[in-house]
Amino acid sequence: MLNVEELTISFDTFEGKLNVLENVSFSINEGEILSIVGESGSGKSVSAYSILRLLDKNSKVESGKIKFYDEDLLKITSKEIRKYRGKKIGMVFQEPMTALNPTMKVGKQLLNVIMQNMDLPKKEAYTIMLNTLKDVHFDNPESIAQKYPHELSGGMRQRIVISLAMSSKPKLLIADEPTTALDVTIQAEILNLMKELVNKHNTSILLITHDISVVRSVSDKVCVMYGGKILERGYTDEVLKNPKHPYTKALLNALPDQVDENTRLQEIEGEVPDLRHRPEGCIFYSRCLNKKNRCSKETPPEIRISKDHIFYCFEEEM
Amino acid sequence: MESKIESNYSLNKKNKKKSIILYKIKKNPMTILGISIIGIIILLAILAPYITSYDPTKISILERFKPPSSKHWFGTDEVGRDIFTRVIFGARISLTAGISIVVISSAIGALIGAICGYFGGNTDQIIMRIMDMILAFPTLILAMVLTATLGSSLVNAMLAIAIVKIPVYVRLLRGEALIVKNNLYVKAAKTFGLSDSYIILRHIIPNTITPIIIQLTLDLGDTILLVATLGFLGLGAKPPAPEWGTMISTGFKYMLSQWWYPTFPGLAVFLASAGFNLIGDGLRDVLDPKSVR
Repeated sequence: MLNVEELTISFDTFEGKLNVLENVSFSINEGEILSIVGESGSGKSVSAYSILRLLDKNSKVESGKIKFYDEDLLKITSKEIRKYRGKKIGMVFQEPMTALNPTMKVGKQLLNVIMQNMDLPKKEAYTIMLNTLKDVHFDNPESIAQKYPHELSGGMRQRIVISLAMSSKPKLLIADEPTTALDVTIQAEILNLMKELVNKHNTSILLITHDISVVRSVSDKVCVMYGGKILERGYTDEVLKNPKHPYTKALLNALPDQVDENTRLQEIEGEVPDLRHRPEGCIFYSRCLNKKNRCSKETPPEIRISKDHIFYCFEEEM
Repeated sequence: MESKIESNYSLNKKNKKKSIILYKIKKNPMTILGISIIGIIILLAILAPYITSYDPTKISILERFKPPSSKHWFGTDEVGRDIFTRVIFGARISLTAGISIVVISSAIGALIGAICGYFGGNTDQIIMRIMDMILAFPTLILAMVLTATLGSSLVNAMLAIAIVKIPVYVRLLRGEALIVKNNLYVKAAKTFGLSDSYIILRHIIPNTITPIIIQLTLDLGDTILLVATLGFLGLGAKPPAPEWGTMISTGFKYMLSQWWYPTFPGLAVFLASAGFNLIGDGLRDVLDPKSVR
């Protein structure tokens, strides 16, 4: 349904052009949850924003395609992309605190989105609004609709944002770290809610996160990103049980539940490479524990373990 | 149980909200003074025909140049019209003129400013340079030139002042829009598929309303002064209309012998513009806690 193929995006900055995404490919089928996991600056949010063409003006798509069903979202005009935003592709944000207009009651915001996207008169839109709010587990939608955002808690606001994104029953929901700003109990609630919506409306979700435990609990497929590149991707079970790329392994080792409480957690030494001076060869070279000479000179090849499990490393030959 | 807590909560909050604004206004005696002055002027303007039994334009030559007395509180002018009557009828002209000018210029200015700030780019550059050109002239001079070009009358004077005032609001709103448009809810609104015009009208402008309201109140005093100035210079309302500036202009000649003629309309102009300025200052303190004096 959504196919991102060989996407390369560059930002034009004061210090020259830098490629924030390089040859990124992934695909989502209907009703699937795909996670993109990676640390800050790995390009995971950029790939999400690029799907709805919400990147700032200094960005440029160098090559690649974003195919949504049969349409290439990068080729259509900015007027046409609006037909996708909200209607076919919805988005949920990291900060529920600021994603709602503070001067408008949440019901009104929701109502206006429904009226504009579905072209409905107010009365019918109101019924849909109440149903949408019920969908995200508000038992008293009428009174919630009368509230301003500052009267609601973080979790409630995130549910409102989800209901805004889901109001027109989009085919794809992009969730940019939807649980990062919430506390753990609410996290589970939001994740379950999203799972429920997938089952109910057959919506696919592109979940951006840096939390491997979130990946494990909800997603069908996972892409591990680092420095604007995908290092490993495949079905979540396969990748997490049998990680191939040294970076994926290191990420899993850094999880607290992997070790008993007396052992020091394994951190990944070093820091994300400066994309202004993108190193030749493997992007993870500087921090890799198994690096070999050739890693710094040649780009690692694509290695296919199974039909869907792919990673980029020289490991096989070592 | 839950609903009970909720209702208690909202009850508390409502009380609190009301009292905070009142409390802050009460703390500032100058604001109270401003509100009282403007309140009295508005009341006098509305009730003018019931307060006085004189006609503001009717000539009775036998009564000319009577000093202030219990019969004519502010005295009479060179053709025997009651000055108190003319001053309170003048309040009608000045208030309507002032309010319509700021409403027109702030509405137009806010819209242009929001569009500039939201879209940016070349349109923004061109519009802002035009606004800079208008701002480069002193307000009064430009208003005079415009009125003179349009032909001197009260409506043209109002139009001229409205045009001269627009750039202030464009600048204000553009700056605010530049900040507001970076808020996540504007980006979010785009992802929900909302149109640009909707985003500007419902997301950008409502979130910049505070500085507009403050500027608007402060400008009310200024515009009333400008209307009077243009009237004084013979570019605004024409005699025998009871406009404050026009009255001062005629009365000026009699300053030394009949002091009451220019003094009372002058006081009215002073009180009205001072009153609005005091309210504006007070509102800024209440609505914009960041600008602590």
